[in-house]
Amino acid sequence: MADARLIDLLRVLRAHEVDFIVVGGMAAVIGGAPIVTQDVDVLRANTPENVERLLAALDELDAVFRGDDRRLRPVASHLTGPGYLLLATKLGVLDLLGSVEDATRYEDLLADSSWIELDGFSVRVLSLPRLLEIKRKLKRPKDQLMALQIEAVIDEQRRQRER
Amino acid sequence: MSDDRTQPNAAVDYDENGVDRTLVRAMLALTPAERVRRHDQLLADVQKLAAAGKAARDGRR
Repeated sequence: MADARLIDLLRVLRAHEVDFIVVGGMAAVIGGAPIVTQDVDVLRANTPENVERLLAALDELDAVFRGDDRRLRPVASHLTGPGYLLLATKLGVLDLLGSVEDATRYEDLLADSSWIELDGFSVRVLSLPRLLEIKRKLKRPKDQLMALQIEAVIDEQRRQRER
Repeated sequence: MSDDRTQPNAAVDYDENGVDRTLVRAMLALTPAERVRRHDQLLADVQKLAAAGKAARDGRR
């Protein structure tokens, strides 16, 4: 596999005007956590217009379902529900989430996200406090470890503000 | 100079959870774009190491 270029993966999604919020490890990285994540997790809007834009972006990314030798491509019916799609693209691994926690959707998290400028384009990114809340509920060791990193970033930001 | 490698590196500031605060502060000094680019470089290095490890294991079989 070629080197992942996750910043360019996000750029392609934005170029197609896909509505999404960066969540998971990449949101932590953008916020300042010194971690390495293998994939980009994004919470997608499930409107018909967004599904259409997303399919165009996935086409450009040569996205196929991971772990399936048939190299199946996602279609519109995969992108309308609350479930998640685990995809491999030419720019890296992409997890497309229809919801997080039990049933929290894109619209529900908008208020907890903000636009962050990356490299000539901007993406909506989940706030660190909200990401921490989500990670604390998950019991996997990797989520617990990430929660500690996020806590440290939030604490350092607080210290820097107080200086 | 002590050669006791079990001792923590005094130049690195670990917190009570073992998080390297030196690294956290270094990340916060970067722009978000720089953080993602640095991450992508680290990920590429991790993947190269994993591939080299796999090749070495396969060669030993």
